Amino acid sequence: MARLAYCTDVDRSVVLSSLERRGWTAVGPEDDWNFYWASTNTTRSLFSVDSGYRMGDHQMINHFPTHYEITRKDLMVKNVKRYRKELERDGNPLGERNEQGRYVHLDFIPVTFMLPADYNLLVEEFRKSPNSTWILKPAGKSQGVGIFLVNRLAQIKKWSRDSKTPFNPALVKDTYVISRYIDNPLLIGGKKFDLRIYVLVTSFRPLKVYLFKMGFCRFCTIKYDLNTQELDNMFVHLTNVSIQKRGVGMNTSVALCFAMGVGKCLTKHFVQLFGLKTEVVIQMADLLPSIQNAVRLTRTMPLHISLHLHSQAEYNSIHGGKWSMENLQLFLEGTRGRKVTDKLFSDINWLLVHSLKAVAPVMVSDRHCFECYGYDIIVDQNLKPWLIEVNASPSLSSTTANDRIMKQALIDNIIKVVLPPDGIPDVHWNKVPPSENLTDFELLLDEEIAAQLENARDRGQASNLPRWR
Amino acid sequence: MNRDVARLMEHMRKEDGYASVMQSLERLVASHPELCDADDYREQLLALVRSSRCQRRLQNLVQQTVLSRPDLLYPPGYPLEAIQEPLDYMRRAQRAWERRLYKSLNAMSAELGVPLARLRPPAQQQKMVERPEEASQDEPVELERFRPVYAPKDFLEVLTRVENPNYAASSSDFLYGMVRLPLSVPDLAELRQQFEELGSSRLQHLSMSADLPAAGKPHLSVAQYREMLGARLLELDDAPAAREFAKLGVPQSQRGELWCQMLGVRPDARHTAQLEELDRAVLQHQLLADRLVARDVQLTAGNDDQYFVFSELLRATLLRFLRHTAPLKALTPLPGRPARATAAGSPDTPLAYPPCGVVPFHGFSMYLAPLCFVLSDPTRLLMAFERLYSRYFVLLHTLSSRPDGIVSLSLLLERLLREHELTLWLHCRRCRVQPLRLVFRWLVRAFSGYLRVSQLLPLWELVLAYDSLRPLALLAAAVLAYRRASLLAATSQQTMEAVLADLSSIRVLPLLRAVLGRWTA
Repeated sequence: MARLAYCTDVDRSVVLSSLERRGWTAVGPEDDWNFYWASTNTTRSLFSVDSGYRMGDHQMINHFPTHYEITRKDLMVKNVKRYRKELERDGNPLGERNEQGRYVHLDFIPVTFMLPADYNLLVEEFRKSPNSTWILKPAGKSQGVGIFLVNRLAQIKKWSRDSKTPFNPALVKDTYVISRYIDNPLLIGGKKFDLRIYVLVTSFRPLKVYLFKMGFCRFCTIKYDLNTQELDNMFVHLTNVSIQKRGVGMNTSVALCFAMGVGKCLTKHFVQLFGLKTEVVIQMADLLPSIQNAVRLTRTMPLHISLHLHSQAEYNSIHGGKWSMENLQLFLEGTRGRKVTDKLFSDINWLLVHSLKAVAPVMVSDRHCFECYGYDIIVDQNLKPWLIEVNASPSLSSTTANDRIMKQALIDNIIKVVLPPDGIPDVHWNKVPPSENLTDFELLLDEEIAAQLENARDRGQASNLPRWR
Repeated sequence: MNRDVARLMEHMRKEDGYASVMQSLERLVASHPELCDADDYREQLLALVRSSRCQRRLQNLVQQTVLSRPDLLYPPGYPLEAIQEPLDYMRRAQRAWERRLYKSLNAMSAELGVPLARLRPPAQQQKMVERPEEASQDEPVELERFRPVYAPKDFLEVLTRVENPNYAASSSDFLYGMVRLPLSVPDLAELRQQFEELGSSRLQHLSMSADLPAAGKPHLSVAQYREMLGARLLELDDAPAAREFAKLGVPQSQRGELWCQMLGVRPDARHTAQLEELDRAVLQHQLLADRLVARDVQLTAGNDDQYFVFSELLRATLLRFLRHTAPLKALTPLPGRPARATAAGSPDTPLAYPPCGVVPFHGFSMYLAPLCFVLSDPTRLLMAFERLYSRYFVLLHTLSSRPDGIVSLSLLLERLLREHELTLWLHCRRCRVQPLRLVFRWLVRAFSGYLRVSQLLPLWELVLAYDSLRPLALLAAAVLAYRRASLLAATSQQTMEAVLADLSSIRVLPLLRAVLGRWTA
């Protein structure tokens, strides 16, 4: 095993233990590193034109410079829509649409619009399905900050003014993305959950995608605690706020519904309207701007608003609300049958591959890079998967022992797959890892190999075929 | 008519499926009006029934009746007590154990100031109806006061102290085993005969050979072939055939249906109405046993990374189970006499407490948890659980001389180890460790919570298919044999327990097949 020099911004034991176990030495970012496990910010600055940094042939970094094309919600949606339109225009059967205008084969993101740009399209869609709920997210933020649920057109009238009047930076600082809320999620044991799936991409052109077999389901089984001290400083006192048991996916957001009168004392209205009880722990630093935003927006519209908050709840330390995909598959096969279960899992693989194909044209496929994405997927009651979000820096902290083991295996496995057989990063390597290095990864697609097989078939050189004499 | 047949008929009439079978017979006859005028009415009727589905349904009904009422094998008028448990000393031991349990329950009630049962105040009932998701949340702190009534290790102590007064066990008889009772247990040769299909390496079990080509139909894999057969069987609705099929493994997608067929679970409108009634009963009364169940779910299933998802469902089903008196009737042929309590208002009419006749213990919810992976409908889940419990699992925590009872299983385990793993047996003896103590909790819980679900379900399937709990003892012995090397290297109880702590990598079928096929003295 080669002894490389590594560098890391991320202070996580699962990463450090994998790197150190290989006998690699830690160096600083200014030194000659071979392997950099970086944060997205560092990657951005490294690849920026100003830094003037040129990576050497034997250096590897764990992010692509243009990863935001898939992780920013607005760009991801834009890329998927562009991809679908292109396929349709080229007459490709994948781009087929049905009578309602929905894409038959590529309908894996909920109906989404950009605000303020697509405001009029949104209004049309709203009128078509008046009882729908929509979820508003700021395009650039993560971890559930500043997210709202709306169900009435009046709540977003703000953007109609913005779309007609000249751009006023004071009023709208971020682009917002509004998408159809999945209101019929699959429930297991009466609980809502979402899927976290890890996908490793070693190259975008040609596309090489590997699926980590140990994905898991995250259930909302947490109990909440309220940290009253921090709340004292807040102008909003969110005590005794209950969460619907059928809340939203864990770890990132919890839906709180409340009606606002004039801005202050959200709680009182909350409690009055819904008479709810339990308590919530919230990242106060993240909360304040969201609440302020909400107040600003709602001063003109005293209506129903929902707020998604980032929750740091205390998980059960044995299971952590996490269920393995194996158990999910067993359960679905036993209660729904094998055909629909197999279809769900193949639909998920389809979703993963095509979401990446959609962004491939706009990604800078730098040969020094690889990236492990964390896909958040929600399954609805018809066993259809919906892509909610892609994370470039999936959480590497662990809540339970099983979790830690899994994440360690993930990092370890990633390193095995991205390094050439001799263990030294090499920009000229063809990025085809030997199959024994894949271990817990499954090859979903390797366009290079697929193209080779196509060519071989076309030239009639497939060795298994019998030849007529 | 033959007296035995008359008795059988009498019991059959009380069975669940009787009405629907009679209805379909009537419909069959009504659709063949030419029968009424025929001279050989009887022969024609018999021929008609034999050629129709009714025959299979009748067969199922008869089998179900015979299996659930062992007293049919005895002459009429035989004392029920003697049928329940022919051995006097065993009966007395079980009664003493039960008395201990009920005393402990009463003591808990007195100590915590919680009545065994009480009417729920209407306000609380209202709240439970409107906000069911909060019903399970309002008691977390309170629940900690409730200790489980007993755990498997307490039961083990009681079991080992049972003595036959007519039998002086000299130590050489059992060579230092824990259970010293002269009950008959099979040896390996008999087990090989009983579990012929399991042990035969010619026959492909689904768990082991899913992806291999099926013998006889090489273009299909074993998994596909079994699914095809399973689909045909489901249409057939023939319980004995289902059992034969299940001996070689049922595909996961067909498990729910086939298990229901084997257990005779055929819910109709009556059962759904029963379920609603039970829910109403849950609302009206609150039992001390409810808290025990909730605590148990919290401690066991709620902390298990495979079953925690179903905590709510488990709680709801077990609350219904506690109030359902039908299992009590099913339990009557079995040992055990449930406690009687008198309601405050009517001191003369003792009722069973808990109404189902079973005192939940630590780990009870684990009998139900794996079923959530195969059945999602609450009615079927409850029915299947009741039948599974009253036919098999109740024997795992009551003292009886039955060949499937925990006493016989423990004896079987010890015999298998003594005869086939003598080195290990003597090593344990030298270290003063009893192998039974290491594996007892696996047996009482039927391995639920110790094995992965994907391995546990095939094990329970074997229990259903062979109508016997012996595979549990076999598996326990097989695991000990499999980890022989590590156990021989361990010298204390703790180290051995550590070796046996994690069973998540165990694959049931290969182990059982190895033990039945290749074990030699």
